[in-house]
Amino acid sequence: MPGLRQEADNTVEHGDAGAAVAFEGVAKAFGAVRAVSDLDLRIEVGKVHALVGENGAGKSTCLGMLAGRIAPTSGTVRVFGEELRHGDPRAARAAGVVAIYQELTIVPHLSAQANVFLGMPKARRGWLDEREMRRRYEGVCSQLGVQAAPASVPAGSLSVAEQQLLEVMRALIAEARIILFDEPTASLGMHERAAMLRLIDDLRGRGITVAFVSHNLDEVLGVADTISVFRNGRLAATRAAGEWTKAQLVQQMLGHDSSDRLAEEMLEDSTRRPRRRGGASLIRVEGLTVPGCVDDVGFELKKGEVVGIGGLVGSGRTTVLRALAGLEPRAVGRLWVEGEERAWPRSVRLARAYGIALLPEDRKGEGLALQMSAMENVTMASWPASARAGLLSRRRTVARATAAATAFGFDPDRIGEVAGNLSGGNQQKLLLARWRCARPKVLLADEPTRGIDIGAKHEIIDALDRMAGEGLGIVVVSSELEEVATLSDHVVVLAEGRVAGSIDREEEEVTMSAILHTAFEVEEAHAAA
Amino acid sequence: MQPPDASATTVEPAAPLAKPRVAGRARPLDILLRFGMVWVLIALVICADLVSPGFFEIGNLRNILTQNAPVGLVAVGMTFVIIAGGFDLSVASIAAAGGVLFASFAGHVSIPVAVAGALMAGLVAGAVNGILITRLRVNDFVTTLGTSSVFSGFAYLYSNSQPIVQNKPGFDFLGVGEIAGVPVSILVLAAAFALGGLVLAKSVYGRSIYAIGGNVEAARLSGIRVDLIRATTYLLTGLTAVAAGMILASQTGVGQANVGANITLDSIAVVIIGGTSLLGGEGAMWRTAVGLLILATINNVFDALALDTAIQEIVKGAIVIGAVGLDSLTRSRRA
Repeated sequence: MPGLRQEADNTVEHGDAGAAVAFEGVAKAFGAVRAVSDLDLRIEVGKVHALVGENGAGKSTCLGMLAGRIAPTSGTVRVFGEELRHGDPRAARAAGVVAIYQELTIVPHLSAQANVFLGMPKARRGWLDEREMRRRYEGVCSQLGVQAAPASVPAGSLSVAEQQLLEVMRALIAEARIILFDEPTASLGMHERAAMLRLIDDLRGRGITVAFVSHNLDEVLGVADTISVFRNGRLAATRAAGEWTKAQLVQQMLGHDSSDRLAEEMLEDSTRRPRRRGGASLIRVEGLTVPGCVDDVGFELKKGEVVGIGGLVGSGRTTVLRALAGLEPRAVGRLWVEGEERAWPRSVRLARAYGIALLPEDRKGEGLALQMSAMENVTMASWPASARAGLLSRRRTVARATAAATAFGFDPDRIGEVAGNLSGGNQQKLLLARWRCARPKVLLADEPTRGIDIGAKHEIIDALDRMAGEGLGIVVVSSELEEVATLSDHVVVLAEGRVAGSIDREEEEVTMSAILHTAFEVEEAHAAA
Repeated sequence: MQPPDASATTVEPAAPLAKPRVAGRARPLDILLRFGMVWVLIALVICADLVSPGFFEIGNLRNILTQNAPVGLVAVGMTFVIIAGGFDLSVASIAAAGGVLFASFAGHVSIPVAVAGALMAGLVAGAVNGILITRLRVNDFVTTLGTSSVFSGFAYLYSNSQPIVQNKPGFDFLGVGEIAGVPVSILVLAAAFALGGLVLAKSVYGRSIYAIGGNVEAARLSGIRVDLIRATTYLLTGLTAVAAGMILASQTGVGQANVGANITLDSIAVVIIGGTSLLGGEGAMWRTAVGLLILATINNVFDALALDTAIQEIVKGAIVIGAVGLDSLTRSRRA
């Protein structure tokens, strides 16, 4: 954009001519917590710039300030040389910045087309011009080379990938010059991930500047021109993508104070754990069917064993867990608990009575009472045990919660803190501690490490492994196939709601490629048919 | 952004957008449920015709509409508020105050000026609600519960708790006047529904209201002026509530602070019975019209049969609960 370069000349004293985005001494504090400090960062025009770092390192806050969602406490953000008004999404949009957040900004009841034109409908004198919008909608679809979703379908009925695509279309229609992505591939399946990365590449080809936050270092190295690493709210380093290796990125993310051992361990493809000997049968599932989601799924879980449920996003993995936890009222199937056939649990109370507990994927929504303290959250599933004569005893609550939480490396001094203020890793430790207090026989772990930073991820995986060693039966679902491969003694691979195959550690090595191979075989067979 | 250059890169399909899916297909039962309240209305009208033979007579139909014009008008404004995810409990008080002001103003100035003056007062009342809710961030339920009391108190103070009798010629035009043989109140009601329906379905403003009710954060981040638009929906309830109050005053020739107490719950009931979701983001003006006709038909039949009004209340309550139950049933089916 040569014209803009000229216009920006009068801001040369700031040294930002030619940069699409420039952060100058930007800081953001949430109360006493400094999310970002002393940030000086340039994003070059027409480049793909990746921001990486552990959770809470400040990269999402950085994007939020650029998008006007978050107002910086101090400093200046410039977009094409122009100072951006703080905390004003309209100003950011007027400057050509469009952000696509991890929690998509889709209005579920409005049509796909209405969502694409959200906030900037084509209209004549205040009246919507649906025909013009349809024309532009189809234009953008063909521009992106995608098949158009029927424009009138409610956006809420589309898949996450399709909704994300609607947001990209929205950005193109807004003539965005800078598009921000927060974890663009986190909730996508394998095929969709690859398509998303191609799309980012394509946007760059159109001269659009892209900034994105991602946890997936392979993706970052594959698609970005420049990579900035954040650590503890500060920019640790910015280099061209070619000058980084995965090991260096991890090193930089963790900082010098953390041990090399941890970094190395994280880099290993998967840590091999000794094979566990399955004990007596804990639960056996046969013919589990949830209409529209899961069809005739069966497996067996033994004491002290981990069963992984592999498969792509949308293959029904989570539904299997939810059905076992009593959250799918339409589930039918046969269930044996410790060898005895029982009615399928269609309520959480019944599932808990069988000794089945769920570690939900959505920690904040389904796991924690965010305004309550850590200790109350830990003891929530077993309050009667911390009560005397029906009255909750604070001393007992503290003692029980502390004992359970410290087993997972939770800092005992923070046991009284409000759960909502804790990091994702610490929140997950609270939930693990909750079930340690309640002593279930079977733990269903749904995406146990989602949104948790690298260091804590390792602790969570170790904790699950240890709990299995103590005799708990664990069923684990994760998009990180490495985790499934690492933890599981037996993997059931689902594809399109059916069992596509299973891999047992006794017979063969459980590897990522084995899981993927099994999952894709079915998909490809279907595609061929 | 650069102009689209089709030859520059061949892009593979990024995602299979039009992939056929198992769950999303429309099933006959869903269609039945989607228009559920229309079937209920049809069934009711047939029953009404059977049990009270005079139901379809022009005189009776006129009665139904003129009697329910005040509630219907307020329901038009209420539809906007509820779809935007809000709630307004102050409409009955605004209507009563509007009637009092209209009767009082008409004693001093010409009828059109009195109408304009009362409507202005309605806008002010709506603005108070809107500003409290969007600027001071007081919860909408609490705000309008409070202002309901304030506006009502104001109406009593202004009228010294006395009915303001107004015999001025033309004062009864809104309530009992006719244009080309059609009662003015019915024309006002029809115009409000037509205009409201058009704006809601076809205008940028209407689309923004759905967006705000459906996902407020998404609307904000797309640059929609969320607070401004939410506040304006309360102007609409203020305006329609005053219009309702004026029709009531005009019908009786009296402006009174203690009339129309049923308007708040009835107008909300009408919106909900039609199938507009209390959660916001979903609904339509035609649904409110259906809800109004259902409620009006029931009232009419009960009156014709000379049944106790207490029974009417029980049936009305049951229908509101039934409508919301049906709504959450369809919701859980879709989920």
